[in-house]
Amino acid sequence: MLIDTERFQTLKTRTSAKFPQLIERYLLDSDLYLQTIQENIKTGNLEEISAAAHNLKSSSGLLGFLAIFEAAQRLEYTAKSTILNKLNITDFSAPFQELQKEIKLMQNFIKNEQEKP
Amino acid sequence: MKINTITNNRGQILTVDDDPTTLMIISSQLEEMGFDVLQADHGEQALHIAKQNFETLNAIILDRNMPHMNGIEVIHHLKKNPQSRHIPIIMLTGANKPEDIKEGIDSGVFYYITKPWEDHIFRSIIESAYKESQRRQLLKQELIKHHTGFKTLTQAQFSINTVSQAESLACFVAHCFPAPEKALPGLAALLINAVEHGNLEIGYTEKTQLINKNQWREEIKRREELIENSQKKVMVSLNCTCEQTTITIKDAGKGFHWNKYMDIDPTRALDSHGRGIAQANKISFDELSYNPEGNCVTATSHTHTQLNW
Repeated sequence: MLIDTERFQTLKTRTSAKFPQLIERYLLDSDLYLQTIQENIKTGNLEEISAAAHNLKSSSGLLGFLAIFEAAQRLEYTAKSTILNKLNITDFSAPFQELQKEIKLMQNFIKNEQEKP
Repeated sequence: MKINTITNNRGQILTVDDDPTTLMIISSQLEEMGFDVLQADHGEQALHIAKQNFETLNAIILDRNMPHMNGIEVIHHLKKNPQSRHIPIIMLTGANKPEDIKEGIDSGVFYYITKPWEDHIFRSIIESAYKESQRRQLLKQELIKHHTGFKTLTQAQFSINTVSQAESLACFVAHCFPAPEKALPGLAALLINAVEHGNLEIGYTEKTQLINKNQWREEIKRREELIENSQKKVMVSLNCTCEQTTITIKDAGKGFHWNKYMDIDPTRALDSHGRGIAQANKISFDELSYNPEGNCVTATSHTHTQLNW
């Protein structure tokens, strides 16, 4: 798990009262994006994989979750280059599993943060 | 339509992104800077909000990648509409891909922020776009008051030596151009450059460092107060005829390599500054030329030019 803790803490301080709401939103959305990616890997909808991975990449980068940022970026680029080069559907299992793992780690990190006094 | 109606009284910015977390983060940062924030999570909604609020909007922060209608398509619609085409647009891009940036520049976007951004870069870009919008509003007010008087002016000369004077003069002389709102951002950029880079000798890299440390304004003020700089003048001459308006700006500096700034190099588009000359060249004037040294610039607008920008 790679986290830019300075970015995370700066955002926490800056958004202060709104931070819990922001984190709830991110937790909810990251889960939804993950589900969207999983469903569309099954159906081979590359545009949807790319769009969901793109948004997950953006929000994760802004919150400092660099490992998720990188894993989502890999999925986005793989989907995009598959579309662009008209390749056969790529095997997304390795980058997807990595993303799944990193999202679990992030959820644990946030849980620990929320439990802090 | 999601609208944040907190009143901060500084100005109003519309932010457009299909990711709710990103939208929340941008909004909180803008509110912290004192702006009222309007939000849209897709392109059609952004166009609707812009149409309803074109008189009060100071800038639009627009995500490049959105489903159905992407950022570039939104820009085309905004630029087509005379009511919204002057609103400065700040493009959010996911990566520093030159082809994306080039496409944005060709559509008339001069401000870029890459995700994830650094706070000082975000602030600096927002402030630049806001400043452009403020100048335009000031110009609009003055134009209503003094419209007839400016039409009688044929020749004028000015001498300035501070950034604040450069900003005021830009608003003043813009009235003498066939399309004042079009000329304004270019005039402001050229006049401020003459003081800042010419007379005060702040180089490009140095400015980047000053912005990064949030010390740019402070350093300008410090240098303006130095005795050796207070004696340096930027000489400005204006000539208006039935056919064209020409401004010549000569600073007291050594000049610079102006060639590379006439167009926006996509690799430089993500910098916190450095787009003014390209903006002047591409949008504000019909002709723009420097002397070989780079310490004297002449800009011309023809009266017959169609206002298609």
